[in-house]
Amino acid sequence: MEQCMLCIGCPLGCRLTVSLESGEVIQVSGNACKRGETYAKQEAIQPRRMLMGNMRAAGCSRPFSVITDKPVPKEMLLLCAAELKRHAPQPPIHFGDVIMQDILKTGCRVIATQDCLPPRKQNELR
Amino acid sequence: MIVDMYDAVIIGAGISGAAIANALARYQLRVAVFEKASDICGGASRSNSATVHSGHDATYGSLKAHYNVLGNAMYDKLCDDLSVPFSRNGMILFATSEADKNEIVRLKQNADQNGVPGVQVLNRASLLALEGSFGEEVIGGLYAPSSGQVCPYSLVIALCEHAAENGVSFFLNTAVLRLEKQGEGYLVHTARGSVQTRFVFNCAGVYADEINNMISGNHFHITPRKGEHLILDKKLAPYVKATISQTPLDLPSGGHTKGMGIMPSVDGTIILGCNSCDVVDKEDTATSEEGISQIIRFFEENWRHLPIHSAVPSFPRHLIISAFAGLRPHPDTDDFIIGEAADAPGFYNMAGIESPGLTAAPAIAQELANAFAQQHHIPVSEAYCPTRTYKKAFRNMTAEEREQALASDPNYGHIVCRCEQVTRADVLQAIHSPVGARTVNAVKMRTRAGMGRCQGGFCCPEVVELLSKELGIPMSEVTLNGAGSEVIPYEIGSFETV
Amino acid sequence: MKKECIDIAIIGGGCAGLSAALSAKQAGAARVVVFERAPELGGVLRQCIHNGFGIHRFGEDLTGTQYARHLVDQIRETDVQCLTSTIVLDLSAERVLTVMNEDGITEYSAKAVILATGCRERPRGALAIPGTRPAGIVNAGTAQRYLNLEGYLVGKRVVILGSGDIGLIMARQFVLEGAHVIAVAERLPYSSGLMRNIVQCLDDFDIPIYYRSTVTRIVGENRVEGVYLSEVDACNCPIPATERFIECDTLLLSVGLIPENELASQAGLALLPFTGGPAVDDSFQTGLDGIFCCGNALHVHDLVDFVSIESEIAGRMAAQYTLAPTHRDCEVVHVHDGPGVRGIVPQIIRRNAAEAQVTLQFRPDTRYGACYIEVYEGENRIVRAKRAVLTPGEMVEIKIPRAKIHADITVKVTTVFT
Repeated sequence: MEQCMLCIGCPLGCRLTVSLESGEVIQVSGNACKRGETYAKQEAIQPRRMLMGNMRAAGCSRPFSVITDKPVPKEMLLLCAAELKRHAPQPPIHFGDVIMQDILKTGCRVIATQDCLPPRKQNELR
Repeated sequence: MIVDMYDAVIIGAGISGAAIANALARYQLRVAVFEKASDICGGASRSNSATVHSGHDATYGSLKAHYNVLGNAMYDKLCDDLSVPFSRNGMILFATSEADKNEIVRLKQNADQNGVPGVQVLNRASLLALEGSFGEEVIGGLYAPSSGQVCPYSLVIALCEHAAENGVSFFLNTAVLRLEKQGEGYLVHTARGSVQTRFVFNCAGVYADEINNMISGNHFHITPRKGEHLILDKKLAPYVKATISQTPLDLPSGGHTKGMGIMPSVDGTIILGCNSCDVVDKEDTATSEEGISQIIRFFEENWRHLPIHSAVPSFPRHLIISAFAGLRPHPDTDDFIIGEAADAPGFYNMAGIESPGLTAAPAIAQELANAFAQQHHIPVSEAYCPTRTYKKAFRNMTAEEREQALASDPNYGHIVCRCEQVTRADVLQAIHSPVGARTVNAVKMRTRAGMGRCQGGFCCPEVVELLSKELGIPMSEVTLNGAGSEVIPYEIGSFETV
Repeated sequence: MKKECIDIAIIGGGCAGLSAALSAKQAGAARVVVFERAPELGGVLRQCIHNGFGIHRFGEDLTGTQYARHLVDQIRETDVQCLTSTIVLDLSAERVLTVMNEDGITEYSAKAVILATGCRERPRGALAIPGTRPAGIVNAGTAQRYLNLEGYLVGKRVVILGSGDIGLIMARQFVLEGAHVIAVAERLPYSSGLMRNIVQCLDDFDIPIYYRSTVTRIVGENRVEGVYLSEVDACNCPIPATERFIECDTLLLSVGLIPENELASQAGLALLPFTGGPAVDDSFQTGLDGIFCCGNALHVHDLVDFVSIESEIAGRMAAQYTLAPTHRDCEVVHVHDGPGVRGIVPQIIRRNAAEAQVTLQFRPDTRYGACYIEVYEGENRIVRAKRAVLTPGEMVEIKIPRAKIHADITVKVTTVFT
């Protein structure tokens, strides 16, 4: 079985062809580099995407941004995005905090990429 | 809301309503202004060429001619008293053909008859001496030195605020639905309640016919006549001094329009326009592909005639920053409709105030208000204060004034709109002034925040935040222009990811 | 008015300003002050919560906020003074800045100034799109700010005009937040965004992109009710017969970035028509002594990593300038845009500078497959580099050994089969 895809590893955007047999990748062609091969192997078996979004800490008006530490399965992306909204962790939230250890059993952690501190200047320098 | 009694109700808060309100504020009267939109100055008064016309082209013997010339003469003192930007920069009509030249000679005669001061027919040499670098094909022109440019919405705001300071009440979002004769006066039914009043002043712009026809048997008809404009970047300000216009044309439907002109607005941008097109829908202020193209085409073809072409060789399309359209309230009588309705005592019309409406309105209002007060023996109010309480905008302050302002109010030290140098203090003032801003567009109109190069891209979020805080409403309820135009209607998490 | 004397004034506390500040300190500059008008440092990175930043510069795949934090943490370790909620009202050619914040107005005299003022988005007004002016017409960057800094969505059913990266990134974010992105319209026959964004932001969510299309009218009284989409011909004129109505409540605009150079103009610098920034030499010094420019204010970048690299050079050069203000190198050559090349930066190369290599950056005028970037000095070709693909959405970079440059040069793109 053959599958075609566009590699998103770099601006070249090679058109890749992946040959599969019994659910395993046996060949990748069309790639100009090793990264393309790695991408193709993952994308053909289980496409994965990084999830980024906003969450609200309890009682805070401004949101704080988060990102997963690894890409989640693509078919779970929207479910995970919705899941972020179901949690309102207690402030203060610090940049780098692990907000969720394992989102929807994907094995991926959700990490804060902004602070959510009590209402005053956040990372202002004077 | 209001189940109350007033002496006078003014319908509409454009230049007409604002001018009448301001004129009546001198007298011992309880006055209310009902405006149907979410802010004052929402109609033609906001969307025009901003020109204070000389009156050279007004039909001799008409009310338009009479009030144009009177109103024009009032502008220096009026704007000075109210702290409104005004520049008597003069107007030049340029001629490139014999037909143009003949029309210019006719206009000069017309101007003299109308009593317009200082109008001259200039040959090419004199024209170049006056304004310089007209194109080769320009053979002469008409010069009307009394013509000027004003900030029309600043004027309306100033008239209204000053009136409010002197006790006039303003009600926004208050459309008049019905008028009823009641005893000596009238019952005014609005969307928010009914009010008794002795007198009514109809200043309802494109809706003035509908208001009049509710109560008077002498019907008239207002046709909304759309005019579209383009705004060019302030970079071009040094190259446009006088307002320059083509020699006016006749419309196929009869009457004439002032034709296309290039106007230096008092805030530095350049206004181009306008065209003319009758529409049906009185709320249709959309710009059109045809209209915008028409203006661009005219200026591409005629750029070479204008003095600006020596510094800017071809029409700078990339310097367009905005486009807008306004609806002139064109009356079927072709002239202003002013005065008490013959069959409805106490009901006064100030209707059909199309061009030269902006220029004429202060004169009309003054005469109408004074005649009215005399007619009904209304005394002058002793509490009347002729000076408007006005705080200069930060943008217009000198260095010393800025330091003083900052020392007394640190909010002056925080810039909200970088393009137009509007500070937080200016925005707060706009919200808290009499007839204060309740929407993003209202803040924009009073402060200029959002009128610059980035058109609000950077400052709008902060304006929304300030409105939310000062009005005590959630951010998601702050509107651009009244209910239904919420800027950020949805909080995250307020609907499910599909 | 308070007056202060400093060594380097850096206007803008985003990636460009902070990178320049760090490198200026490393190069030995004494008193460095960063002026930032927002309440926090970081510039546009503050609102970029997606990843893809830092791969080149730090070898890590970071979000914009993480990249900014990196820079801010580093700045905290230095004695660079960062004034936030502070605006520069005026800049003179003599490097005097009029600066204001809630504490007052201060005049700063600087030995060197670095303009790192970033860019703004092209608004609807500049395109003069016909129609009404309702709520719901928003620039992609503004929508991004509302979403990521305030927590609000501007609409539920979105049409996006322009396929630049900002619009594509927001398409994905809208979908993840539960909104419906109906379509993207792009005037050109190709996207000006990165291919990976087309895949990850549009294809992944089945959002159609219509090329050679534009919005010809906006409808809606208080709020957007829909837009008319038309195809355009080769001259970018809408084809009336193709006009069709798309119901939506939001029109998101992603139609170009314009460098923010008010202060540069006030100081007297001319701005070049394609880049929108001032002309600079390879030390990023402008035509005014001691005034440098870098980042999006100089020319619009697509990868923040290259903003850092460019700004680090500017910072180092500004520091050197303050430590040993030499007479400006009179021996310069000019760099010209040849066929295929637009907006080359820098426009001037110092002949006798120390650095062995000069890096030139430009945008190609259209898409190219296999091609050459060639540098000519008169009739002589001094450099030729092969490239597999060039696209206007991605900045092109070429390095030239300074020793090879003796006179004015022209850079051009030639296809392999020319």
